Amino acid sequence: MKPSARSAIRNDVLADYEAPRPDLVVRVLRAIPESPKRPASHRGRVALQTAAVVMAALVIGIATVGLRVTRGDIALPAGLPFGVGGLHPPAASYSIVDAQYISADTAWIIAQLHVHNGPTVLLNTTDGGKTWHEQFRIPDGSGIGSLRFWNAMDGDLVEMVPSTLPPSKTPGAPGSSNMVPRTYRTHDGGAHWSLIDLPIDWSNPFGPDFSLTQLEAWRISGRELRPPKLDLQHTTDGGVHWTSLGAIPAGASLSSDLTFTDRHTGWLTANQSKSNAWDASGKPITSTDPTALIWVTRDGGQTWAPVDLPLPAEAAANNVRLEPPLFFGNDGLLEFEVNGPPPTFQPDPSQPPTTQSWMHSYMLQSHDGGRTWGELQQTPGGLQQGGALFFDARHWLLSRGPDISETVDAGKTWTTRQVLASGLAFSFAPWNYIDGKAVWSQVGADRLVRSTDGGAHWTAVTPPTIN
Amino acid sequence: MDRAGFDGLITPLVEPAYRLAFAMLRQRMAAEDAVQEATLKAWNKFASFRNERGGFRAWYLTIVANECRSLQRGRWWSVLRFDEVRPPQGSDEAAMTASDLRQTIARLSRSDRLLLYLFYWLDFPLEEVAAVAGLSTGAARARLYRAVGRLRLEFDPSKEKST
Repeated sequence: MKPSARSAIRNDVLADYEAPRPDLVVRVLRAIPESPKRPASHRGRVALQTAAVVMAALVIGIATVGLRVTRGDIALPAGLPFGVGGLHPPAASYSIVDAQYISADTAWIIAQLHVHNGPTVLLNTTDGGKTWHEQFRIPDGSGIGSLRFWNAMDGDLVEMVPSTLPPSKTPGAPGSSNMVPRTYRTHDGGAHWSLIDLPIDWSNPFGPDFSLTQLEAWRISGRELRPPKLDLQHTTDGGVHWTSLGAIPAGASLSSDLTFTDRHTGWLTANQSKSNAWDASGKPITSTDPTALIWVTRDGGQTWAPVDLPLPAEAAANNVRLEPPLFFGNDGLLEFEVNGPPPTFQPDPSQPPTTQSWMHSYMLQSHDGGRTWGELQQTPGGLQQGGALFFDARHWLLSRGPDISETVDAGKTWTTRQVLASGLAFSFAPWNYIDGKAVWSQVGADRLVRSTDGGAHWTAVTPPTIN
Repeated sequence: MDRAGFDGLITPLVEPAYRLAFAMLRQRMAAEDAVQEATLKAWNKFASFRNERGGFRAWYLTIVANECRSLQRGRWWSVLRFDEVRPPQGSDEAAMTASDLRQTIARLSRSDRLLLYLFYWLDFPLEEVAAVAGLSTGAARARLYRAVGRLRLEFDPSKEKST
């Protein structure tokens, strides 16, 4: 007799099932801002679409449209026909799920084929994407992973695989995570990979929080404990041995980002959330602000000190989210956004009443290695709006959809232009940046572009075919 | 509707949303993240919600399912290797059946697995399963039938739902 589908499906899910953390509802509600993002008004949409159609007619045959603005959102509306007005790189027949670019010519991508349980393939180019070579087909290729090349020869590839240990309900104990890392390492530019045996941190199985080199890394351990007991740990042998440096500063949140600019100097950022949450009975749950938004260590993580930031007035009563600081010598850039509750906004009388939310991106600069920060300015994008690239302390690119906003004077003036065809979007990330001239960027999940002149001109990269 | 009203609608749906996300992703932290992100998207799209087919629950779980699919697609994340998860408990025969079943489930499309989880794991009525999956009720029934047939299991929606 055939088994019941109901019992079979349930047993299959229950064989792995882990209940959510008990405070899931509270955390989910707390993560929601007081008001939703503002939808484009109907009138605005019509105006933009009309303008877009006119513009589309004008730009046929023209590769790039240039617009000069000071500030503000000029992203083309969603209604513009796909593929108008800019570079249209060819799409791969697979998803590019990770990438590493180490020079204008040398890059690796990880391709995940659009088939079920399909292979995960590492590909390499050394001629700027003209030709590609398949280097490694990850056994049983699936799961979560990360790729990091430290130079042209040395790289790590980590794949998360299901744990085969009996499950444990004790936080941090072996078996307490369903997934564990499997690390491969290369010393010949990816031609050969060795599976290496590293101890697993069961309370933080997703690997180090920040790796400075292939051997030196830091991680925050103990997130799973109740209450969390956050311990900063350090390795200098690629993760074989870890030593505790002590607790992270009191007040740092669970979502803190850790980054080091050298082996002594590190930064820990926290986010401020003023979002309200309500329990099941409708009672408000008050959120607790972090005691600081950024801390610095000058002794490799053993001691931390809060750093004062001159935030805009609107930050006091709203949500603040920081990116890790970035340094060019003593010149530092600290990007953050403020979002918050808003005046009442009703875009369309036929729609239910709602309220407008807003988000502003800001930049702070330092010229003394991060000891003091100033020159607060609002920027036309960054963070979640599409990403940012910094060629040096004054030359920045911010992406938003197919557009790039550029400044060469540290944000005093901006030029915005459409680079990609409508409907496409840059995906700038820290690993896009290589040096003062070379930059690669993924476009969506399956396209690549690159520039060798600091983003002035972009060319499409043709992804290789994989069987 | 204001934020308090949204919270009132969402709160009882977080648990089924997590169960759906877990079934699709098979990893607790990822499932929690997917629910959190989907809820944020639901809030941002809330003004555009009309009382479409299946109501608010189907609308919200559609966003959750899309978030899970996006996670599987967008990051380096595919279907888990179902054949390498923990061995099932019980007799050898039962273990063999469970293992076979899991490998067969893994070979189904993501959309077919979504139908199975909504119908058999979340106990949704077929009409709501169809709404979340973006199918007509008839198409959802037919695809469920085919998926269950490929699993070599007994299928009868009306019988299953009445038990």
